Amino acid sequence: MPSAFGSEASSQGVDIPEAAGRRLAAKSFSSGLSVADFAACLHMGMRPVGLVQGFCAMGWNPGYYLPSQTAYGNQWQGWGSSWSGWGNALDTYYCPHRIVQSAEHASRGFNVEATGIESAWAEGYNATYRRLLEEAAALGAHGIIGITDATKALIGPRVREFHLLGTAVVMDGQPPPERVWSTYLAGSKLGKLYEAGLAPVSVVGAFAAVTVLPVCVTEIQEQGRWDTYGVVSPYGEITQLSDAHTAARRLARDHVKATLDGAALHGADLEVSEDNLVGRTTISAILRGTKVRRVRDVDPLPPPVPTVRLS
Amino acid sequence: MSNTKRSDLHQVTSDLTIDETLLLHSMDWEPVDIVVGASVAAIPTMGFSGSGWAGATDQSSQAFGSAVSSAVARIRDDCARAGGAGVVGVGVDFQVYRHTVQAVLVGTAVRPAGLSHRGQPFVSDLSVRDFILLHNAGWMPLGLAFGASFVQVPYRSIGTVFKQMAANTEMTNLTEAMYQAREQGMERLQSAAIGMGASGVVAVQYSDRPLPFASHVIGFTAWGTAVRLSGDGHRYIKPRVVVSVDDPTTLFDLQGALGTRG
Repeated sequence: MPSAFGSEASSQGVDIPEAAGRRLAAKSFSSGLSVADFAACLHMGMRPVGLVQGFCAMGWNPGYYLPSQTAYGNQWQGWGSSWSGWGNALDTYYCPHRIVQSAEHASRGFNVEATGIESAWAEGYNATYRRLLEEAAALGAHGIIGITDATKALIGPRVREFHLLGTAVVMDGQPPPERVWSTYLAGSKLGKLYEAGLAPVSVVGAFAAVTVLPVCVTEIQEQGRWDTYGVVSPYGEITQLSDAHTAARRLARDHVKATLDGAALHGADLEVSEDNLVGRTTISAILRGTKVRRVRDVDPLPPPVPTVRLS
Repeated sequence: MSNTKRSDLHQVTSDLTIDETLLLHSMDWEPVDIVVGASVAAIPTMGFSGSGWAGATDQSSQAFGSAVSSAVARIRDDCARAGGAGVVGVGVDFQVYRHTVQAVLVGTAVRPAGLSHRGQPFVSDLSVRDFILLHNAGWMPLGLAFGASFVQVPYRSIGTVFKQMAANTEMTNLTEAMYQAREQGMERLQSAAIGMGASGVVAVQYSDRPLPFASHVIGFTAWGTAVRLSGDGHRYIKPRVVVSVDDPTTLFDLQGALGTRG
């Protein structure tokens, strides 16, 4: 199941809009670069040819995946480690009170990787990214620089829009590209990357979500209650929540690593949020950055000289 | 130290900027992986104290302590698994809620180029620039030191109320309670550092703010990087004194050239 974006493989048969064709065929360019970035990009031999974008509105139904708390407590709905195909149990937590599972007492708790939501995000991002590349390819571009991205809830919590926007550039005198490369970087940052012997491959990112189905102890601690059975100290770490928060972030990293193919992720940015979208606490993490590879070996900079400025 | 290994960027993830990456290379170190430690700890409701939070101040400090130490242990584990010698540029985020304290640490594991590290990795919130300066000055980071203290703002005494009607007056119980809490927070920071075998803490950051859900409770938190000398003594880094001859009024504004990201 794809849980990271940055791959061109996907998705439904939506073509880029007709207006895009007209816009891109016009004999002028638009660009999202600042004037300084524009100048830097010309200096590096890149000629901006157009502002390109990809867009996708994605709807999904977390209801399928919604783990239920029934009269028998937290229900295990799948076989093996799969949760009705929508989730992947990361860890199981057991009740220390030796009480039979019931609606009043959850004697088992689970941290579930919400793979259903993850693949919805990956699909949305990938479709967006593919359309971005299509627009750039229509301009005969070599690469896309200064990409910005946005994703937000469109209408209600179950529809999300994905948007990528960047400036397509042509490198005059270079052979036509096999693949269009892309990067979040622009201006002098991109220049320094080349100076360091690195070249951008593509923007990459991944989304990871972990849903918490609390075991009795987690519930007790989270609500600041005292354990009436006197088994669990009300103080101290809530292991299940700590694990969930750690796992969401590490999963995002590991999903990205799965797309690197031996390259590296540079300038990464991690965003985390917490919601109750599926009726339970879900921790979501998005990690994204530019995938780079080494194109030539360079000597490191000489050790920097510390300076003090007099003015 | 070998130069060939530096080119190996195999499966590296990093949240460092390109400048930081280049700086790291200049001292023959390399980024390894983004590493994470997060922890949540509980604050129990205290007895019959009405608001449900009054009096929970000691428990909160205790919860803060266990959230932080577990988060540090987790990021250390992650770093050790990745083969890093330590974590730099750790983003420190902690939140106090009514019944929980949450601590999240995210940073990039680094190591001397090509050398997989064994042993206890360090954790530091210093930027790569500061890490290098520290390194060149002959010091090494050991870990993050934290201290926290929570205090319930006391009511004015009846005497103070009357005095305040007539003249300006120090609110002594307020001074005492908050002064005490500030000292306690810093004392905990310091003893955490001593516990790591550090001789001091650099770049201490400090926050004092009322809790969002209980404005009568103020949380004092302090954290920084615990350091000790790595060799015999401090090395003077001899900065070169420079005088800029640019005329500031005719300087071209290159701010936009910094790029959009990273």
